[in-house]
Amino acid sequence: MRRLVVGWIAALMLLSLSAPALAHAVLVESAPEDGARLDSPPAEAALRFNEPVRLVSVTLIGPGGVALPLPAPAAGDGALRVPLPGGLAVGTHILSYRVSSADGHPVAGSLLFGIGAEPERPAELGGATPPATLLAAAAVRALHYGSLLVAVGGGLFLVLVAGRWSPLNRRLRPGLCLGVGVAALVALLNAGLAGAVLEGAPLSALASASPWTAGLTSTAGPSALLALLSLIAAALGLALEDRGTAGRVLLVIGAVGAALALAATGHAATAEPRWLSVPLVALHGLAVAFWIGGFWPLAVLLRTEPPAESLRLVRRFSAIAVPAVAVLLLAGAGLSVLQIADPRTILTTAYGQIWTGKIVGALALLALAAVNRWRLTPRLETMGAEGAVRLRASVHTEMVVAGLVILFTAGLGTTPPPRTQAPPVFAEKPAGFSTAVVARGRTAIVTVTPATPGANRVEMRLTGPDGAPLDALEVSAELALPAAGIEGITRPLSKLAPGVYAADGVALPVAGSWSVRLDALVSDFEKVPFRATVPIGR
Amino acid sequence: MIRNTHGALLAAAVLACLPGLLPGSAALAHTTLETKQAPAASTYKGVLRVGHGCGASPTVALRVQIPEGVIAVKPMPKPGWTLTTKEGQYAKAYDYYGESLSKGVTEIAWTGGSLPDAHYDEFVFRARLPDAAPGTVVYFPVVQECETGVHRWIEIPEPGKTDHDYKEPAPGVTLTAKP
Repeated sequence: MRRLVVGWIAALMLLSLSAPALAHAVLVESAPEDGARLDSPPAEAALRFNEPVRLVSVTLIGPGGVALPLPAPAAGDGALRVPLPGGLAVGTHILSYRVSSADGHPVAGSLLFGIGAEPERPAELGGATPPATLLAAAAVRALHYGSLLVAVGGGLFLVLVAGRWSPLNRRLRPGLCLGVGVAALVALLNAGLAGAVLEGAPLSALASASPWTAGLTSTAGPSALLALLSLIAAALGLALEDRGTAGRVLLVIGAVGAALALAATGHAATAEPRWLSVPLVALHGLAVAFWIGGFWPLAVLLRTEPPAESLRLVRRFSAIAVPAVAVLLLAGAGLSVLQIADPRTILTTAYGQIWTGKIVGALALLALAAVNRWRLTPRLETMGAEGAVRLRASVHTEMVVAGLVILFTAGLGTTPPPRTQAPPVFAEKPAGFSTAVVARGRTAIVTVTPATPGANRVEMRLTGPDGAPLDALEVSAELALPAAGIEGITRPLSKLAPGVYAADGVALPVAGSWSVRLDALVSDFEKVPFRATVPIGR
Repeated sequence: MIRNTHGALLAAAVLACLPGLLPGSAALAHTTLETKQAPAASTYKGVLRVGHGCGASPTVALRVQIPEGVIAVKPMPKPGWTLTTKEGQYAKAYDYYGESLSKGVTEIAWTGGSLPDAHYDEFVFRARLPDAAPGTVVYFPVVQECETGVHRWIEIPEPGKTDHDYKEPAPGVTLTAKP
């Protein structure tokens, strides 16, 4: 049974990790468009994302697979502008980009465009992060969450439950110090792996500086730094705990800092509105730290303390845990609403499935907690040592279930939440065909979608010699397929925006290479014909 | 009179159907220049022949754009029509019998008349053709406005194409060697 559960979780995580749609920021549009055929080399490539992005790398591969040097691109405010070198050769060019979105996750993709030729799509494009890296990153992330929360949560237990000068504290201190040390190492490793995921590098790349730099300069960097500072505070707090208030304050600072570190990166903290999501993540983290951070100290005290003292401490923990869990549930529910947006996506998306797993785990944890509070704690009073053994066994079960919940949480962190998939994803947009045509000093970007037999949309974006949108008095399209004996189908295009003209529902009944002529009446006496060959249904 | 009306209706019906029935074969009814060849740098009498309206609608205005290089343009007035011209700067100064011309007529418009679809008429101008290589075609884009509708005889063939590839080609004159 246990093997089955572990296998299921592993499969679920792999499923979510290997999906190519690790797209958190979504590419909304680009110029040139992917797959475009251009008549002349573009001066720059512009990419627009649905949220601000930070550039990780961009490369241009020219015809024959030659990497071409690129000047420094400018990224900001969701837009990436890549100045392209002059004198690009005729043929297929691939612009590969890798950016990190606000939640610290990588978005990689490639634009294909042909200069003076149809771009030829290579069989496979690189850029996918190796699954081993993704799996390791998710595992380390779970370890990071767990170790950080347990370490600082143990400190909270000392302050809020055990109280000053409790002999229990001396027993807990070595274990908690070890936990702090482990948590610090895991936090650093987590930043490195986040960098490796950003760069799409294999695990072996961790031996070099590059993924570490990438990780620490993404939002994972400040988060890791905050986590380390919190752990230092917690370590100092543990050292000074029995000497006065300063140590206790440091322990609380450590716990709050760790909760804020969790709120500094990841999807949950980047859901709009952020003024709501960031405090919710921090509160959720703080409450979880207290709750699951209390498990190990509880197990220890149930083993070592006399039943009466155990009962006092367990009751004290329970009294604080009830409001803490209420905060945790409320914050968690709020975050779920922000992330999932549409309840129907719970069953249809990987994120929704992992979320369901986490909720089931959390409910199991709540049930165990209820049993502990209302059944096993009273027995501690009536049955003494035997009651302590039973309660301890139950706490151990809670630890295992909490570990599962944390695994699911890490899975949520590496899976795109439904909110980011709500806008039409780039890959799902109808393929269509687009080409740029230059005639008489004007440029028209002609787009036919979906470029399959049947009703199509014909759109033209007209620019003048200066590159600015150009308004025409009239635009009409004539579409013909002479090979199949189909003479010109003429349709007027209506104006949508300055320089943008379109006609919907243009019937192109058969597949083939259609000749399209767009006539733009740019002035009373001047008509500019733009001709393009549009492959339909290929 | 009755016969005339019938004729007009018939012509209108035929013309209205023609483009649909026979795309590209409407050459007989284009607005064209009577003289299709003339020596470079010669004085040219341009006669624009208007053979039909827009569908059945009568022609009420004819506007001609004078291309760069065609200078010293003088349109011929026409009884029943108001003649106006637009003047503008040439791209460069041209020599005209020892005189340097840097501006002149760039557009001619005959407006305010009414030429029924059933009738034929000619609109005349005189101009000095450019001093360009023989074989060069000088196009005079024409906008024919009707009570309802418009014909724009403004399509200038792309390289490798001829007037016959277009529905509404601009009238042109091919230059021959200088005399």
